[in-house]
Amino acid sequence: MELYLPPSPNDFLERLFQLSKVASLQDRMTGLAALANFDLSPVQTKKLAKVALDTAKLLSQLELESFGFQSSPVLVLAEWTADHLIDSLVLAGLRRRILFTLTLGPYGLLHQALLSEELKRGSPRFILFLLDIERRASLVPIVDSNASAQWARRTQEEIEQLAALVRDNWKAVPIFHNFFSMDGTIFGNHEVVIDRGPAAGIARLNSALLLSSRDANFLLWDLNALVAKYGRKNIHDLRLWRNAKLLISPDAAPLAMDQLAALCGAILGMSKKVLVLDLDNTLWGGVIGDDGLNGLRLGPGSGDGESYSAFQRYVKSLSERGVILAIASKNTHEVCVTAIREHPEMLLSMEDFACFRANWNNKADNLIEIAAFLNLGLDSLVFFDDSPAERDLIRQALPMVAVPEIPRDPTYYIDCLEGGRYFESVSLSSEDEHRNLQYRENANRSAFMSESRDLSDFLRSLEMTISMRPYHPTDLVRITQLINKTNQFNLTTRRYSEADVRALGENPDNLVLSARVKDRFGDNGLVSVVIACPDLDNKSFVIDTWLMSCRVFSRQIEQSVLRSLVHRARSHGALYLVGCYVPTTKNHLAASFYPDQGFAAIAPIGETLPGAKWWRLTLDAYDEPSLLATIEEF
Amino acid sequence: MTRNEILLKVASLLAEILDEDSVALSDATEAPDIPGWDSFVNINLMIAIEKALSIKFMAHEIEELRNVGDVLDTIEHKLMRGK
Repeated sequence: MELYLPPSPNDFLERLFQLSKVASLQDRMTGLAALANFDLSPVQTKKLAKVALDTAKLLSQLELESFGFQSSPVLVLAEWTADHLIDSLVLAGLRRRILFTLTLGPYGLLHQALLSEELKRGSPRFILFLLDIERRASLVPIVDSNASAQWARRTQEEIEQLAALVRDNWKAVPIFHNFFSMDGTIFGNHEVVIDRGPAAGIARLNSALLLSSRDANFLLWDLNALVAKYGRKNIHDLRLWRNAKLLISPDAAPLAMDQLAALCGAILGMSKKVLVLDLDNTLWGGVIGDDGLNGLRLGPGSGDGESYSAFQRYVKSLSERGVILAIASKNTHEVCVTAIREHPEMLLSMEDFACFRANWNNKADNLIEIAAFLNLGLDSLVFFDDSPAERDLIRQALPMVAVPEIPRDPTYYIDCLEGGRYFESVSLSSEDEHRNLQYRENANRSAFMSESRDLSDFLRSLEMTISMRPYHPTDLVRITQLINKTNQFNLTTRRYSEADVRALGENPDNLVLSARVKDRFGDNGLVSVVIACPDLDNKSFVIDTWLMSCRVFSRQIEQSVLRSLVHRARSHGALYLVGCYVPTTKNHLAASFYPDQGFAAIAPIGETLPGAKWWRLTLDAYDEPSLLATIEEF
Repeated sequence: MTRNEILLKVASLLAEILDEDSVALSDATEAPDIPGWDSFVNINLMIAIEKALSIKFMAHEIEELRNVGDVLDTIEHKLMRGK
């Protein structure tokens, strides 16, 4: 059971001690996150978690965010012992720049805890339910053929009711795990076929939970997948369950908590977006410059060749689901391009890479260029390279880049990349599937722009159509996804669940608008969202959320959205639009957005975050901009 | 492995878990005698012993072994049976 982290440094304690004295809290947090990216012993884990939590106490949420971290209080409502998981969860969070602060609710008292005003004051972002699998599964009757289905439905309902309690009374995302059978079967191989007994009931329940997690809006932690991959006996020690109600044995805690942290990270917008790959001994066996096209190990004929093929297939699937691929290789550009184009067993093609850097420059510089080219932060990158020296270089030069410790045997490349759960997502939209294409189209646009004389010339020739639409349920997934992962053009960086967005969108008093953009190079899909809520006392709409995908910067989309918003606010009888800008470490490019659009500074309204600046636009004084796109209003 | 070697091994595993340089153990030592040796440390110690010596405790042994002498007896017995 491996996390594919480099071995703990010999001077771990010394480093930790030095870090605990570093005056700059930003440097300290960054250093602690870097230390969390080593394979640490339980004692080291405990010490690092303590220093991290002590440091976090000195920091406000806003300060943490300004360092590129997210703070995330978690309330744990457990029917089994979870104390031994806490330090591992803190570390797994730290690896993803998330600071989990955990509160354990009263043991076994789920409903009572959900009614507790005191626990509510902790404002948890997540409520983690750890359910007693054995007690519930022991209730599966085997007498008649409907019994396991009935049991599964009852247990599913129990979970949905708990999720509903959270949804109605808390501003937190509930997390449930699925089940595995501790007893195995009563009937053996045939159990699931005849649909009786605990294994049959649990199989039914697990598939039912997939659906209810979507409908009842909770996160499903796939504990069962962990058990299937590593073996139940490695995850769960029945003796420790019976003695001390440990569902997850201490040895499995780092792995289990890493997966849980990845799931939370997807909600917090901390998942990675780009996979940067090396070529030699990473996508194929051998060195193209030395071994030549015919000397590469790739494809059938050798175990290694099969493994490189399997890895390429896996990477290609990642790209098809929206992970952006890039190459950073120390090589001669033409030699690599020839190999990729001409090797008959290559599964990845040049078109799969949004960015290709094969040169002899320093890899850290190449990574910086790749991030800049894609308009993304370096913390969106995963660097996958077989060379320990290059990995070391990136870890030291660019600590915000995720650098898994690649196994020497390519057989385990997929296991390493999959096991890191870098690209975890909680939704899939059609935009995901076209992302690589969209980034390539963007590259075409960039080339086109450099040929155009000036910006307005360029915008005109793009032949853009911008469609403004009020909230529609078919957009729910994409809107929620944008809300949770847009960092740069995001005025308030508020994150919402699908249920939150649905509630905001279905309220007819609110203005929930989305913008889609098409141009001569392709369809960019849904790229901007604005949510404004009425403030009747002040005859205004207050902009709760305004964000836009970085792919469509500098194309007058924001002006088009504002125009639509102004028109719609007027038709609701409003006189003003009010907006606020909440600074984070990533959204400075939106800092002067409101004043640039003619908003005037005003005093903060209501409860406001420190650092926030408030602005107001008088609708009567709004100047219609001249827009170089066709605007469709729905 | 002699009984004394087993004792030293158990002491070093416990020291590692408790993050101490060393822990002095004798047959009569009980968990409450050593600061920090709580039920969870005990579980970790038993798992560590299992891994280090390739033996397996029964559930009740993890729970019930009262003093270091009992632990050593059980380990000795298991190692002997293994031969």
